[in-house]
Amino acid sequence: MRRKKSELTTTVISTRMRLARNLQAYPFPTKLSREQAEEIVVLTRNALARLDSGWTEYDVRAIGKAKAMLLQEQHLISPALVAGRHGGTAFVSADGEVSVMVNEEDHLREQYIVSGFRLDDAYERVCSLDDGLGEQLHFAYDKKLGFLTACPSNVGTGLRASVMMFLPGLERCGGIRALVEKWSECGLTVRGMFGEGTRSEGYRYQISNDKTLGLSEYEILRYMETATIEIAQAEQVERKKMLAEEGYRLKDECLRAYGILTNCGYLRFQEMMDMLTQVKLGVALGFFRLTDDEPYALDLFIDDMRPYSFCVEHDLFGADKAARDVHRAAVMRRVLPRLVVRTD
Amino acid sequence: MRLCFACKKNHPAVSYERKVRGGVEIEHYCLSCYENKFLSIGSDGNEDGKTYEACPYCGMTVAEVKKTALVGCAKCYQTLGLLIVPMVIRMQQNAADVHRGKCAADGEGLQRSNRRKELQTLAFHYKQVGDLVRAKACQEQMEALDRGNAKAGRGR
Repeated sequence: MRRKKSELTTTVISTRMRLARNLQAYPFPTKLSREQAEEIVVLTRNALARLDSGWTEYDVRAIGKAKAMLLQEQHLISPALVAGRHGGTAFVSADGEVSVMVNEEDHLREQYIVSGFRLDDAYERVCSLDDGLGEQLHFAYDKKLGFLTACPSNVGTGLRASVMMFLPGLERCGGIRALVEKWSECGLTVRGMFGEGTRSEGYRYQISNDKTLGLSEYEILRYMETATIEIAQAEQVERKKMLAEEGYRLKDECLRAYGILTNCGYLRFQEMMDMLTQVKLGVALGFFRLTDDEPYALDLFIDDMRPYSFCVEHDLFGADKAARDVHRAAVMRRVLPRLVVRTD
Repeated sequence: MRLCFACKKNHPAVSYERKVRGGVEIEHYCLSCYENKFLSIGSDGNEDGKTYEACPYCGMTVAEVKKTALVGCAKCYQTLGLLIVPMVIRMQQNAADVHRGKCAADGEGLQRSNRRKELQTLAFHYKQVGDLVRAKACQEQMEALDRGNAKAGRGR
């Protein structure tokens, strides 16, 4: 069991639950007038305030590109919400972990993202929010089809459970294509890290359920659990093969990346991401270890170093590109050695 | 005053364009007659054996659904059922599937109660922002729901 848990810790980065809901009395967002969209925002604001205090509201048209991109980097809103017609709004919980997107593809998208492999915890939290909203709002629902959604691919439970996985072994051996084919036949989808239509970045893949009708939420979670464990085990096999076949070369690649990141004076974003991916690979293969007890500290650091998150954190929006790259290098030199050290 | 083409009693809410030789005839129906006459999930569509070109509730057309794979409202699942039900089957990979998960607040009474809560919130909101016309419209819809609840109560 301990082995299984450790396999999952170095393979699963985060777990996300999303429920799609619509209000019966209103057309879905593609056919919604501006006034109707605003009414849905009012109803959601009121319903959330009755459940809990501390929700922060973001009108995506009013917050500006930088804030919208920041929320997107934090996975609290989607590109579709930013590109939506009108009334696009996000409510984010006080702890910054739960968000409710209003007037995205559906009227409501309730979602929760948490580090690690925590399907049941994540579902419980989003389900309890949904119960509270369902007591106050009249959701579009049909006994045969379940919760009615703008896209028929979401009808039924409206639940999209997903896990973000780090799969360098499977990607490097070319196993991802087979994985996509195998699991798509079983009702799962493998996508890039920002969801539908996006490409993989840094060996990160999002695995999610495709089927939402005809299975209960419990069955979807168990199905996802089985798939994630199987994929994690396949990844471990490939990592062992990688070590056996090209261990020295891989170690050299990872150490060089670490060396550059901890000694550079100028660091472009894409270069940093490529190098951090190598460091993460080095952690997964045992060349490095994390100094912190928090197993997801490196992933959280990578998220903090994304362009908009970095500029907000370090107050660099007015700075030119070169100044940002110099500052990025300084932060990297300071933080990375505290997070990750060599094992030899 | 125009009355429903079918029951000749209620006010019409939906217009139905019937193609006839050389032109179009428009028939007006109340929602109840319209649903009874034309709609239900899994039915064979309207009396002409054709699905609708557009949902009468939200205006979503068959062409738009085909292009975007999105429906326009909850009623589209009925009004454009001939198009959408096969889409659901295709996307969900099994024709026999029915919902087995969590249920929404069930029963007409509870649904009315939730809609009433929504209208109450909106009436309060519109009063606060000084839009008394919309506040009054919400109030009237609440009263209509209450009349419906009383009627349903007597029926039981």
